Amino acid sequence: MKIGVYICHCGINIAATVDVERVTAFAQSLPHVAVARNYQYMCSDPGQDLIKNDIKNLGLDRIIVAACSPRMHEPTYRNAIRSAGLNPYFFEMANIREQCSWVHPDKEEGTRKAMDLIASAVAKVSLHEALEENEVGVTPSVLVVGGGIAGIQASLDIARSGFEVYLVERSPTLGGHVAQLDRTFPNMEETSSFLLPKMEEVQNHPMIHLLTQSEVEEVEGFVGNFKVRVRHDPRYVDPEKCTCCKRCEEVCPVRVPSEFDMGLTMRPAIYLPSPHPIPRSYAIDPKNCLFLQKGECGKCKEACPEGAVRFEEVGMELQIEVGTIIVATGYDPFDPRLKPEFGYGFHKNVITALEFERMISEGGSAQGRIEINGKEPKSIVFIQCVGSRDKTVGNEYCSRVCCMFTAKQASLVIDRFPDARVTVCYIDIRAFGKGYEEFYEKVQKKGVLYRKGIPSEIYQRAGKLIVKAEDELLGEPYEEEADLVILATGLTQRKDSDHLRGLLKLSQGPDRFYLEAHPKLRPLDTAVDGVFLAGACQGPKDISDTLAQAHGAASRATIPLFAGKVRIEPITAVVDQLMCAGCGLCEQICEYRALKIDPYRRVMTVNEALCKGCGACNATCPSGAISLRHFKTEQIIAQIRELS
Amino acid sequence: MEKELREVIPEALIIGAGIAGMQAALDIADKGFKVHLVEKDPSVGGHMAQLDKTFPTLDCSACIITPKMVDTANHPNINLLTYSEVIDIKGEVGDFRVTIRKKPRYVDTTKCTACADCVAQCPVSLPNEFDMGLGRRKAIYIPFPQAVPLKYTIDRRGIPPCTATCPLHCNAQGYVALISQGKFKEALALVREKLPFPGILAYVCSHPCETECKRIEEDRPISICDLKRFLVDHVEEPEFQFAPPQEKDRKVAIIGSGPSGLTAAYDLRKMGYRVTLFESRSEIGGLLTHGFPPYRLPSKIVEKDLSVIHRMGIEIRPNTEVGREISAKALYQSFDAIFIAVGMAGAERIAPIFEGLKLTRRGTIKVNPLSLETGVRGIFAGGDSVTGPGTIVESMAHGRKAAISIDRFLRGEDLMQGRESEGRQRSPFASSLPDSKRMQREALPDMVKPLGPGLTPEEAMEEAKRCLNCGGCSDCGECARYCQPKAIVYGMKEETIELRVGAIILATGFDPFDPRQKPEFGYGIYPNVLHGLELERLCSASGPTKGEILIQGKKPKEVVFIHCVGSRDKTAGNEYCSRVCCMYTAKQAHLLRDKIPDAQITVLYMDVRAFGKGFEEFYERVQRERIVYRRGNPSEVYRRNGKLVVRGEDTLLGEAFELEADLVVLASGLIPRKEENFLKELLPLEKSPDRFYAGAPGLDPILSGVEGILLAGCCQGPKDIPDTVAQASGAAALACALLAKGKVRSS
Repeated sequence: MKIGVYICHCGINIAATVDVERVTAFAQSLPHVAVARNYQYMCSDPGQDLIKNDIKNLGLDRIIVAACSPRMHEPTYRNAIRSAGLNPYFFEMANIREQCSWVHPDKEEGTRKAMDLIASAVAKVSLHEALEENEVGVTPSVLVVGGGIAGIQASLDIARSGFEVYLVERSPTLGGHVAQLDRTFPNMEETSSFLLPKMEEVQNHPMIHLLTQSEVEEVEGFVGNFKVRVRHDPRYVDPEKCTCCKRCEEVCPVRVPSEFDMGLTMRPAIYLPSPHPIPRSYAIDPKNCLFLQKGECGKCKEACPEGAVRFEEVGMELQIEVGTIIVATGYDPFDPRLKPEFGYGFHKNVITALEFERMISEGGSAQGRIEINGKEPKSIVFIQCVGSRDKTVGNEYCSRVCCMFTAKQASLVIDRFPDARVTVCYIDIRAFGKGYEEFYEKVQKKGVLYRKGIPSEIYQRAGKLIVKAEDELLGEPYEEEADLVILATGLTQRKDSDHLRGLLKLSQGPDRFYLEAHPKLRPLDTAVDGVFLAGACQGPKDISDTLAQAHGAASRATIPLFAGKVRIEPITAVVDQLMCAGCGLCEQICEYRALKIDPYRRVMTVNEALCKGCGACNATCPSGAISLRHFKTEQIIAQIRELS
Repeated sequence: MEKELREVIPEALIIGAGIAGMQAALDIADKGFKVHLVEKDPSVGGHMAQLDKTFPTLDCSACIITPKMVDTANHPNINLLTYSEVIDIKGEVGDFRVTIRKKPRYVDTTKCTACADCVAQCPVSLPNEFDMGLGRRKAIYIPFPQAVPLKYTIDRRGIPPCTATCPLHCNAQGYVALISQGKFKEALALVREKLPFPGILAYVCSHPCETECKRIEEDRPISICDLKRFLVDHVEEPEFQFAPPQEKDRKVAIIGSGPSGLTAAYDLRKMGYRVTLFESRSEIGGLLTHGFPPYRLPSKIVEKDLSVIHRMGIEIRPNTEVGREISAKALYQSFDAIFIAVGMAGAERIAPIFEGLKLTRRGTIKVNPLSLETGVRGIFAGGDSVTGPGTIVESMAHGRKAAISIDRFLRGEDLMQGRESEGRQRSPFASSLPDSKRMQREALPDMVKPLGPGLTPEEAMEEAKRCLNCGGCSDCGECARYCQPKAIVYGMKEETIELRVGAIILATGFDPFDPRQKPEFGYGIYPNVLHGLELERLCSASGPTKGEILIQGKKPKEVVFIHCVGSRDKTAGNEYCSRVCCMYTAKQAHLLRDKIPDAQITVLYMDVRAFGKGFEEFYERVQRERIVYRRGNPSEVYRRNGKLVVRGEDTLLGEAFELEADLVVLASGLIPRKEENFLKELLPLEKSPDRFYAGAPGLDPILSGVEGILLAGCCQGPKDIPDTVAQASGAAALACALLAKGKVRSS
């Protein structure tokens, strides 16, 4: 055995607290060490060349690099070793930076610890075995969960790249929250002008399988090879036949609050899920349909000239196979009932921003007209940060979009009622995006009054709403009579987000949004290989940022598809089937569902593609039947012995 | 018209290798497409590599970016072109034709091992751009220790004013730089490369180099000539040895042994010609031997310099006046070429001796100014006999010019071609200081006054250190001498690379706003007013202070941060919000609290825009760390009793305040890159009123409005790292959708 030890100065990061020359001399004296060298930056090309040349010229068969954390550069050195023709697992890093030079101010101590760490690495690498990396094929399709703007855009990008997409949407139409909005800030474009063409393209794209009224029920497998069970609920209307002639709607005796219009209007049980749904078809809400509930009525079926109504339709389950998954489940608006001081739910004229959007939209509840008790409002107050930046409701975070949607709404209001008094109560104005500050400026110039300070309460006096607040800039309390109060409700994680989180083994942050793999460098990836995030399910964001992220998630999700294969780490658990008692303890502990008991032989088996090499099973096994490649007991013991 | 279906070239071009460009490149390359990644700097990494920690998670920026940098450089599908610029783009979606200029590094990257031996030898110290000028680097450098590729670059900017203006192009910046390092022997050797008689020029040169010295803009020029005199006086040289590379049998007669004749004789003999000097007096030297009082030009200096002529095997014919002791005819018969350098007074006397020689109205010999050839073939004239009374160095330059002409003449080459670069030139770095100012600051040469005692070695080094190193690299040759793998290639030329690509991603990033445009904050006036990126470098462990916050050598105790400098500010022409300054300030305030626990830290803001994931939480945390946020951007920063005073109004209290500070940090915003204008000329790209790339109408930030051209990162508008990375991946998705398509309809 010929071991080469390479000690990195890391500039002065290591060399300032570790005497690299002494450490090199020490390493040279260790058993089997054929060569020990030090260099300024081992990770640099010339540094890597040192190793490669020594492997070729000196015939080294084990390599130690004493440098930074293996999290940083282990792949770098493994690649270098591989390119020199040596198995990349005949390698070990001794972390003499994070675990040594950065934490020991004393040079003598630091130097001695570096020696110990290297000796222990030498002991371990001597027992290393060659491991082979396997590759598995990739199913060339993607599951996109959520049919809002994020899911739509990601699906289109993937399909345009030539891969199949399964777009799963829970509601009967595509479009998500964006479809509910009237216009976008800051360019005041009608949302339908860009959303509808995208929705239509999704429906017509041959590579996209659109599954509305569907939910993911089960996910199995691993990157490249996920098996997903999707539940598809019946629509009870055949979208192929439905012409949206409205006759069914006219005869339906049921009226329930419209979800799309935030309850501001009533809809029948057979209804158009949005003014421009995709699929372009009515749907029956089975919970409220008299026929489906009680077997009475059925008038819609009689009225439908196309025979599109089919009460007999049943739900089904689909098994789909995909290579990667994009989660684009969006958000729920904050429920302002949790802030009772604003009187939402008590005072009729206190509404949420999304309700306001439905009010002013063409085709919305008021057909674009805003009337309060049949009159034009004379005073309108917007209140920002409702449910955001507010620890009392558990949302410390900023919802990122409310400042701007409020500015947009204020602008729309003042355009319509130039004589009205429009006030925005705020904490900070966060107009950070492209053209936002300019828009905010414009809105102020239109006469919208911005007053710093969030109101403390809203109450009713003589039939009028009174907003009580303090103007923090004037240092004065004030009371403002308002005909209409609009709460800029924040964005929260979906109430049922745990379901998908559990299925996919996602993490969530303290804000309860899904957590990305790395906040800076992998903002679209999750800790689960092959699962990616797009849009507000990762955190509140505006349409522009959501689009960027959706494009980005599409890019990330198609990398394994383009490559056609994924590499599987060989550092996995192995079961010694002779020793395994089949107790199943390890199966319960495995976070990744990599272990399955073989019911016939009553022994544990490892799915190496799923195994992350975490070692939990290894530690759990009472009979010592499970070992972890590259971290075998004797390897670790040898390592510890050198340190003790 | 029917649109034609065309093949898509399945390769992409990315301009800019900051975090956006690298992320986009890796995404595309991982999908199996070829990517050409062009970066104008010597290393990838962009602004992110300059940052210390990143908000709000406080990851070390260098630690998270370096693996990406290494991956980018090593990816088999990425063709990384650093130190290169796109100079032309033609064509359209699916088939863009791109021309790239690869600037010369003057270092062979296949040989450079980044051992840094050159750095120890390089005498030129320049402000380090990576450290925002707070630290210094050498002219041969890597921008930062983790640079990728880890290869040195020589910063050669062009010929400095001193060298350009010297009629002999003596490398003044080079020897001054070597003197600054105490390398006196090497310095004199460098002087000798261009000056045959350094002693004489050390004492009586009119030193036009000092007149042109750019340092005059700050105080007074470098005393270049005194430094040269210091070398001549102090350096012991080995005995002059001479052997011509190759003896030639052609003979040249030189009439007159003043500065011009001697220089021509020296140069021609060096080329191997057989040279005979005709001097009417009993000794050579002309004006040099008897034109100056000995206290101005000591005779031992002249003797030493002229001894070279004797040792070179130049035939000297003293007491030989042409026309009296020897006829013109005899000269014609024995010599292949003649150079007349008889001085102002000799011109009229010698003209009639050579048939065909013409005089000007001023009584000087008429020559072709480029070649110094007279009307007679094979006869050249120079020095004062052509120019009238001139300076010694100009006369010597004439001698050199004549030597070049004679060599060409004797070899039958064209006399005129490519001679414009001889003699005095104007440097691109020349000062534009008006003459009136110049006169006050410059020490004009005085050839009569006795000279002082000269500089001591310490004084010389001190004086030399004042040099601004206008040309960057001083061409002193030290790095090449010490580079063991012989990686230095001074003759390296720029290369032009032509590429065809199907899609282009712009990821050119941003420039930090220059706070000098807000003079009320005193940036550039008070040294303890810094901007955000400068503080990053001060905080960074790899920065100029190794992470210690030292302001004029002391830890600041009172620190004031000012938000929105150059952002949300119509007076600065930037109405937009720069999106990152609130949070980087919060982060910097946190880092300072960490490094100086007892400091008073105040942040002055308009609105705190903590909108991203974990931002509000971080802002909250920073406030709990005894960092005071006061609403209201200040009106001015001024100095009182040696301390900075920040004057403003707390808009929440409705009260004016004055805060004392020993460090003021300006959260300078992000502005579009200056050099992007050329891209604008190449590409029909829209810009929004904020001058960033506009994007197509609508909200999609990746679309540029031109099919096949996509935007990533801050070139589209300010954004933080996660948003940049997301957008970069997004641009990669759209590029790959295009590349995967195979065919596209041309517009």
